[in-house]
Amino acid sequence: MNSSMVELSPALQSLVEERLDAIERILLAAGVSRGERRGILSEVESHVFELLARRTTGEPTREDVLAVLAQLDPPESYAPEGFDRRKLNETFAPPKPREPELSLLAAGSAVAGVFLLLVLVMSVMAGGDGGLLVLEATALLAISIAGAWSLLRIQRSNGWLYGTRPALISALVFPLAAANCIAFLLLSSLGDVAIFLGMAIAFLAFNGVMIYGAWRVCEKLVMPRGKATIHPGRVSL
Amino acid sequence: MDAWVTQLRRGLIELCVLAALGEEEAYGYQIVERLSAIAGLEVTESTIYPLLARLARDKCLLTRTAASPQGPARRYYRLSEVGRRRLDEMIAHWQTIQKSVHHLVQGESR
Repeated sequence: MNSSMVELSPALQSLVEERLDAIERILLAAGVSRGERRGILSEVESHVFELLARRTTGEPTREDVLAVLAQLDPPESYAPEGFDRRKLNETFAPPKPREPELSLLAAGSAVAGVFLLLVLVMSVMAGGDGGLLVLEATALLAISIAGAWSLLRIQRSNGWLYGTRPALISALVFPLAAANCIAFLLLSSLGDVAIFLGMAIAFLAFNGVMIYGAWRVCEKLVMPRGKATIHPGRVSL
Repeated sequence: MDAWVTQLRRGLIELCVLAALGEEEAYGYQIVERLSAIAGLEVTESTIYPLLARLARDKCLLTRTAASPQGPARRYYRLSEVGRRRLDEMIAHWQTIQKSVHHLVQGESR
């Protein structure tokens, strides 16, 4: 058993508080007194921390918290006998964390956009119209803006939106495509095939480093990991 | 049959919670763990915590809070004098019923 203090980031804390709020709404609707509500909610909160402490040795992840919440009885089960459970299901169904649609749409467009870019570049190299490349660049810029906007929404959602990975891919598509195109133009002017291949591999590695770096930055900025701890007094009653 | 089992459990759960605190104090999670390990009782936190809150309201349980090494402070429960009397009465009733029903069932099976 782990005996170290379990600490939750604000985003994870909000997941726990959402569950406590859902239970409290049911207890309120059932006419449970304030003192009893307070007692029940502080027990449920302690229960969550006990389960988290048994589950993880380090700082709990989002998956840990969701797994523990899934382990708990649903909020409706706190309704006293004889309470209209159908009404509770309609009124008090807790919201579930979800992936933002914009993030998924932008990621899909990003993948399609990169393929289209490759086709257009080859077409231009074969003597095709370069005007379409400008249109493609504008589309990729729009995708990147959509990705950045998605990242912002995920950060502000306090854990209720996820999908950081597709949003990040979308946000990076324009800067990386632009950097790759410039690199390609520079490399294609090199006469030596060996140098060309070496530089191309180096640039691919650079892409990987950029994506990894951006992912680490996202982990810090989009998924803040503060040191806040839930205390019973924080539960609104 | 399921409904009968549920009713039986529901009737016994208060006795079990009081009995679990008969010897020593315990905090909420400990009580849930202790009772959920009892075969056939099958209780979970949504049954125990409201019951603990009600018993505390009825002055059957006394509470104290103490710091927890894992997170929020733990609330420890122990029997009050009222709770002790209630537990004794429940045990007396339970033993009478159990004995009578046992005799009846044994007689039926012969």
